[in-house]
Amino acid sequence: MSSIVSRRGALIAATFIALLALIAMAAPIISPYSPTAQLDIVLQKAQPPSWAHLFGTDIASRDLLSRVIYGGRTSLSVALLAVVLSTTVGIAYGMVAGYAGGVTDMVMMRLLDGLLAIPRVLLLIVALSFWSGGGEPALIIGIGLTGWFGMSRLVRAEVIAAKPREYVSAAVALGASSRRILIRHILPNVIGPATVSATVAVAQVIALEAGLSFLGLGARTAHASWGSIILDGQGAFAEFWWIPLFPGLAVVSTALAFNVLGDGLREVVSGRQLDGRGAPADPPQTAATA
Amino acid sequence: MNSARGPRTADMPKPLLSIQDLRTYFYTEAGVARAVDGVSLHIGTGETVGLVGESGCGKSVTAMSVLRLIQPPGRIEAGSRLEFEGRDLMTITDRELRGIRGARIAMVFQEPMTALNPVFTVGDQIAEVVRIHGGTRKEAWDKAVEMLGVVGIPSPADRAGDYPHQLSGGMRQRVVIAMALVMNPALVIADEPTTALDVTIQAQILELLRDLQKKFGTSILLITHDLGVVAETASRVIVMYGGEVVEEALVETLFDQPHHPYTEGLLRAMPRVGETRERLSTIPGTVPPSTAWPAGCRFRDRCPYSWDRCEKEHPALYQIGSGHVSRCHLAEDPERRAHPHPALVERAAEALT
Amino acid sequence: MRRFIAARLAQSAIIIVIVTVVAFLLLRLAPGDPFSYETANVTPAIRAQWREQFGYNKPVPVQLARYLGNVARGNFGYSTLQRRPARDAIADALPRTLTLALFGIVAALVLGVALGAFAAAKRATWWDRSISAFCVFVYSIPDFWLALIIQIGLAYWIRAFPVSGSSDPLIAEYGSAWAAFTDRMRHLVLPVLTITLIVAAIVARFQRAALLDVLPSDYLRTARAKGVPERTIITRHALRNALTPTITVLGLLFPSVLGGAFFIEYVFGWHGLGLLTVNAVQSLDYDVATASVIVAGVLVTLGSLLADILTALADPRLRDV
Repeated sequence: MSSIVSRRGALIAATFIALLALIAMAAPIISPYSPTAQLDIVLQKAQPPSWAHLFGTDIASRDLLSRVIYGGRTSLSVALLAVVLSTTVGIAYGMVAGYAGGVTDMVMMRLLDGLLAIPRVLLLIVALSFWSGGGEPALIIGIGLTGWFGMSRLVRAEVIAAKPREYVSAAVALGASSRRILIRHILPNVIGPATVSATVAVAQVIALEAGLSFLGLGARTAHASWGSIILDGQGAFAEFWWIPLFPGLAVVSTALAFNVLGDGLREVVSGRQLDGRGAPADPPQTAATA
Repeated sequence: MNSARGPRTADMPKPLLSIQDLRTYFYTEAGVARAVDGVSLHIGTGETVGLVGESGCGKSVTAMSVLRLIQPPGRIEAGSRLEFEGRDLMTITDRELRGIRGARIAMVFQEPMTALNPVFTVGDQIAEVVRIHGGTRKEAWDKAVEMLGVVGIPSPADRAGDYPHQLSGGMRQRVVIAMALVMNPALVIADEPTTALDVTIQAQILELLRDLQKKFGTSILLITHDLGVVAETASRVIVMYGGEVVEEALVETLFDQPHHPYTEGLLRAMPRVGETRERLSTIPGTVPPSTAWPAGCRFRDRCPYSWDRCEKEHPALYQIGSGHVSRCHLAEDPERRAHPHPALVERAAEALT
Repeated sequence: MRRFIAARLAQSAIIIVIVTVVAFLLLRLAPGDPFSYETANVTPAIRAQWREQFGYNKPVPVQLARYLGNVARGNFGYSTLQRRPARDAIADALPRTLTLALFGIVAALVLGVALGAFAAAKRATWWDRSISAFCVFVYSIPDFWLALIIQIGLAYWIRAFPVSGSSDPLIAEYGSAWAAFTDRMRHLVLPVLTITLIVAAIVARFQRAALLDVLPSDYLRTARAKGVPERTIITRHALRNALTPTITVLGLLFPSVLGGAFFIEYVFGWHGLGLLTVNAVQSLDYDVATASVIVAGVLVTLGSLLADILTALADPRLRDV
């Protein structure tokens, strides 16, 4: 019964995300003003929402709605690219470790344990500050390279479960190379749970990127992401409440949409697992995630 | 041979447990499953009654209904009567019901591994029954250890501190039996108590049940699909099919002169030592789904004697002899027995090929 | 049980070593070093001399060995920002973070388990769906934003609690012991509330799923047949089995909780490890940053060790590993 609910929710979430993507792509057309135009430094400075400026203006007299629309481009693209990166690395690492087994597997997993022990946020704050000072590409690489741990564990588990199956022995008997077996036989089993994991990961990354940008590690210019927009209002949050509110709501709703979508996908994937196992339930994680 | 099995029903004045017209339905998305559809039976003091049938016939649901353990979407329908020791189990309060559970009526379930909670010691789980029904911690623990000894577990004081996963299957089932008997209930309902065990352990458990019954005078409702078990342990047998009672008789009568074709089929299907047969006989077809019992006789499609009356008229329980009833029109038209034919399901299958 | 603990301790030790190495490399291999920043009087010659003096021009493996040796003796280097040994800076900050984390996790556990159990008991009803929906909503909120909202709402607009800091210096200095205590408590409320809300949402969801897994179990049927009242069935029989996965999840979540705490410290001006790190990072305080990473890693490892021990205590089947 709950699956019907989560399927419907997932559909709504998917529609929302599609809408978001459309808005982001059509930003130049939809956005009422330019995100960087300082409209009237005196009169339009930090004005609350009005009909002219639906989200109000920020401290530098820029229209907040436009900034949020353009900010969506940055936030979404960073999140998607970072998740693609971490998914790829995670799948690769997990497949190698799971298939190789033995000492290789053990060493790889110990290393993973060590990496997992450091809170992701901390790792990123330190790495991004000392290595590059922040900015979009750094965020993508940094978030991407710290987000593959859970995925690789998951993939490894799937590989280990798939290894003793008959279709693998059959392929080996037919002379298939390890790589072929991995890609043609094991990977299809992995795709389902990996997709669920990746979807939920996007939710986490959106929130994480916002947080890091809020700390100053993101892009600050026209490419400002939602987190950076909030940062621009620092010092006067209580007074100019619309500045943290609207970008924040954008982050929350986007993360929520991806989480709900992930839940719905999880139901679908559980149904499809051939041996009746459900997709392993990843513990949902906070914005500062490992 | 039968003195150990307890007295016969005919002698007993008022039954210990009386079930009348029990209906337990499950309201699922696929429809209403009439798992138990008008079952009446009674058990006397000190009696061992076997309840037999294949899976899906409603015997387990009947057992669970007695203690009102049916959970939603299942429900015991109004009009069902459950009388135990003179009390109406359908109308007593929750608290009274809980007082009966485990103390006056106890249940032994099929799978000893899953029936025991893995995080508590076996001693603790037995003692819990005593504590719930008013014992102190010390009393409860002492009784638990005592009971473990009674059911034949060596070094009971040590074993009481073990966890279920540390014991073998046979030992676990003994623990479950100990749990059931610790409060000396008047009735034990054993639902397939030996099915999950090895054959040799089966024999031990059944012997244990017989001994305990002799010792404590407990009535036992033994639910099983295995007629061999029934032959050894029960004095009276009730056969269920399609959510109903289809035959009831004393055990010798049932084995010597079965009336209902289903019972016949079950007996024929039992492999017997010393018999030479090339193929085991089976009853063709399968049980119809409980969401859609056919009109008329529910066994009709699989029966070798059925005729048009069976399609139209649902048979009542006919009296065959003293203490012997059967839900079959053959009681009124016994000459039909001389003309067996392939069951309707077989004919249907052939028509397709 | 003892062997189990010993094995896990050994494992934890290895992990801590890996963390230390990673932390060290993370900072040493970054472009620049503590002596790179521009200052008027410092010539390149002086920089070179400093590098020589502090061993920055030796090969990395040598530096690593030296660092490991130092750490083993408790020497984490020097904080250029606070002008004192890094160890002292950490020692001051750590208890504050721990206070936050501890209060937050305990409160989250209590709240989350209760919510999750309630949702599971009322499965598929309006209650269950609302609680589940609410939980998904809450854990979709970024920690820093929730902290901001709570701060704006409850500290600025409705002045129920202090805006930031861990105590009011005036009260601490001049007030009575009781006043100082309540003042500290008041400062704790908002940051802890933030952590509790988010973690509780996750715990509730997980607890609900774990309980739903356990509820159809046969041993609950046995308990009912024994006459155990329904409420005891859930609180004693079912929950004991369903708590184990929750504790495991908490162990897995601990790094995230800590990470979230960092953001919360930043927003609320709470001088714990998180704020210390952010400041260190913004002023390029290398040694403190490295030490932070190591200490965080140790915390997480110990937390997960604790979670494993607790689950083994709760579920006897896990002890015979």
